[in-house]
Amino acid sequence: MSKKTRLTAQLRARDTSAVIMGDMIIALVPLCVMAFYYYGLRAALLTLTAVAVSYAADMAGYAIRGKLPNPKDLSSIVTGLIVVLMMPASVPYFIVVLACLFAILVMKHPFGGLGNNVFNPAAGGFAFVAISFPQSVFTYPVPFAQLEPFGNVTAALVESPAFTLKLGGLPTYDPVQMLLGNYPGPMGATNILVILTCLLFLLYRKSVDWRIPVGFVGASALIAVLFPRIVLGAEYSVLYELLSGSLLFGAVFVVTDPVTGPKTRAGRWLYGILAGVATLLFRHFGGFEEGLCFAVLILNSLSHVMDRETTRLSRYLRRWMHGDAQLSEEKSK
Amino acid sequence: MQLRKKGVPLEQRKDPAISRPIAHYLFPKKAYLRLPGDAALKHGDQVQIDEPVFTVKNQAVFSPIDAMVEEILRPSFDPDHTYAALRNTVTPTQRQVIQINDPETVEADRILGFAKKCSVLDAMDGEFLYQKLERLQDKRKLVIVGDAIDDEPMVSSRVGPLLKLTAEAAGGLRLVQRALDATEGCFAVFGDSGDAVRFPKTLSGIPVVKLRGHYPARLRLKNEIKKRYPGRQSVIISVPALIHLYRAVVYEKPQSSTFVTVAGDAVANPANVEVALGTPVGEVLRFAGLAKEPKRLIAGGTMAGYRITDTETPVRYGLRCLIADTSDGRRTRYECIGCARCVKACPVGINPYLAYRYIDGKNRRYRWLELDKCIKCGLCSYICPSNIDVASYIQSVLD
Repeated sequence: MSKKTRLTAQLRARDTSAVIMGDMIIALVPLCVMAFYYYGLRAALLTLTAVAVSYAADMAGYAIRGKLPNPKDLSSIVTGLIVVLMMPASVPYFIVVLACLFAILVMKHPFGGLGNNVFNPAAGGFAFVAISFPQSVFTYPVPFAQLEPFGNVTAALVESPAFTLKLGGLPTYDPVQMLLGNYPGPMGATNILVILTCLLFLLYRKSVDWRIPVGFVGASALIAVLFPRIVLGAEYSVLYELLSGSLLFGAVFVVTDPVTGPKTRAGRWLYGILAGVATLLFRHFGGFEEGLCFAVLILNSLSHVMDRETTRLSRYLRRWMHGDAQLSEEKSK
Repeated sequence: MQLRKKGVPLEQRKDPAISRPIAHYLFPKKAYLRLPGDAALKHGDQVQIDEPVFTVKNQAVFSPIDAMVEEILRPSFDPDHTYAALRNTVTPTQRQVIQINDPETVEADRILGFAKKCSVLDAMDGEFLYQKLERLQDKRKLVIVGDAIDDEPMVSSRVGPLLKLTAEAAGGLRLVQRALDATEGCFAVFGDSGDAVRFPKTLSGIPVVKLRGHYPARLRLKNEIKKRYPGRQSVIISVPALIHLYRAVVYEKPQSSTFVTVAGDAVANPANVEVALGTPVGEVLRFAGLAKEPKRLIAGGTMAGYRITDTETPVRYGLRCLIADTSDGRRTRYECIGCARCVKACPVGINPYLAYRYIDGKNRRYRWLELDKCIKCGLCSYICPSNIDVASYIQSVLD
């Protein structure tokens, strides 16, 4: 054996990237089903449109970059689903198409494609259309309203509880109905119980790191308690802040994106907590009722810094606690 | 208090090799002997089993078989070195094993002498046993640890001999205890070796320390010994070396064999085999029965091993296993998705994800990642869902 032969693992774990993406799609499917249940055929068609446009844009993106398109790459389907589930069922088709195209062709491929993108494509796509068409993106149909499958919607559109909170009011929806998703809001983000079940599934499959959603929701709840927007008290504030908008949906599917988030444990705690704080800050002081996507985009730019600095800090802490003894032991190993 | 077991659980799959008696393949038709630079042997020379052929760094190298030197060559499996191809000239017969020395009464200073004369080597760290013992002779308060930790899947070339040749292993441990005047001794095993293995609390009166947790377990050994035997320095010697030491003292037999786990789905009779050094791996596989043509042959270990493509490659120290698989193990390689499973899996806390990114991007910042802490466990490559060989990237800059 020549001395250049390297020792390496000959066996491999069973989970592959395709399996991880497949798990995310499995977790999103119940939300699509619930959207179809509440909003009918239009919701299903919007979902299909988002998936098709995202997948096609992804393949086109590979081709534009001069790489062989990988048909097994399911990450664009996940992006498309997340983008569309954060939108109301009454949104025009062209907005969904624009959001998906922006997400894939501007937020993903120019940065290097799968695994190399700095910013969360779904968050970027949603942020783009939210800023460009806020009237369409932040007004919602009532569940079980008759929505036209194609074209513009003629049903009455209302504001979500998040908007009520922004005005300083108290949402009138029963919390139990909010848990079941029977209130106006983004298509996939209203079904709180289903979202929590999906979180448990993803945690069991180890597709997401629990530190990020726990840190995120914990920090959001803390800010809601300390700075309530509802005069009735802290418990109402926490309840409605967490159940309104796409906060919980984002906690499970947007903030937990492995590519754009930090990789170390301490970095992930910091990221989740700061994302929670930033989301609530955007909600309090931002121009829109929902600030999750903007918060995530800002923190994406700091992911690597969080990793680097938490690693450095923990190394200094270790050396300070154990002194030179450990340093020399480390060197002699 | 530890809530969760450390390490990554692996399917051990040590059965049936670990349950079977140790097989012996000590009379191969052919064997390769690596020669030192100068012409130690020439074509036509006769060599005898267990007789010294030449010395390397003052240590005798013994012939593994009775043979004639058929050829002196630079073989394809190792073109940088010269080998002698030995052709076995004697029909294998049952050799008489005669006890020469009584292990209960042999003096401490003679034990080292036998270890040196018979070139007993601890394959785990590549050090001759007599050198290790000489270094430790003046130390007090020692505990001798017989290392039988096999935490990689399918490999049982240390723990198998411990369980099946217990008397020799225990005898060897007691000899080391006498040589170093150590009152304490134990065997260390990997507790999570699968359902087929149940370790007793003692083996031949020597306590068995079971390492808890998952792979990799060896890095927890020193702490575990410190807990069990506070105030004592541990002396870690692999169980095969203890067995060879026992034979060196009792039978004055030089070390010219090694234990190899032969397994894999292409092998008809998986077992732990004691193989004469220099035997071509092809012969060992045929001895164990090749049910199907293997597509890949793994040696050295299943987590930190290498592939063998040439079946003439000789068995040497450190081979540890021959896993013949019918699948070639190729998996589709995807892009890194930054899932950080490698970061979570790394037992020493380096950041394999970042190391891969830097090394792949030819960014010199990998030098700040303390990569020399790497213990080559291979978990980063094992756990990667994109099938990236992360460990190989890290090793490439450590060379």
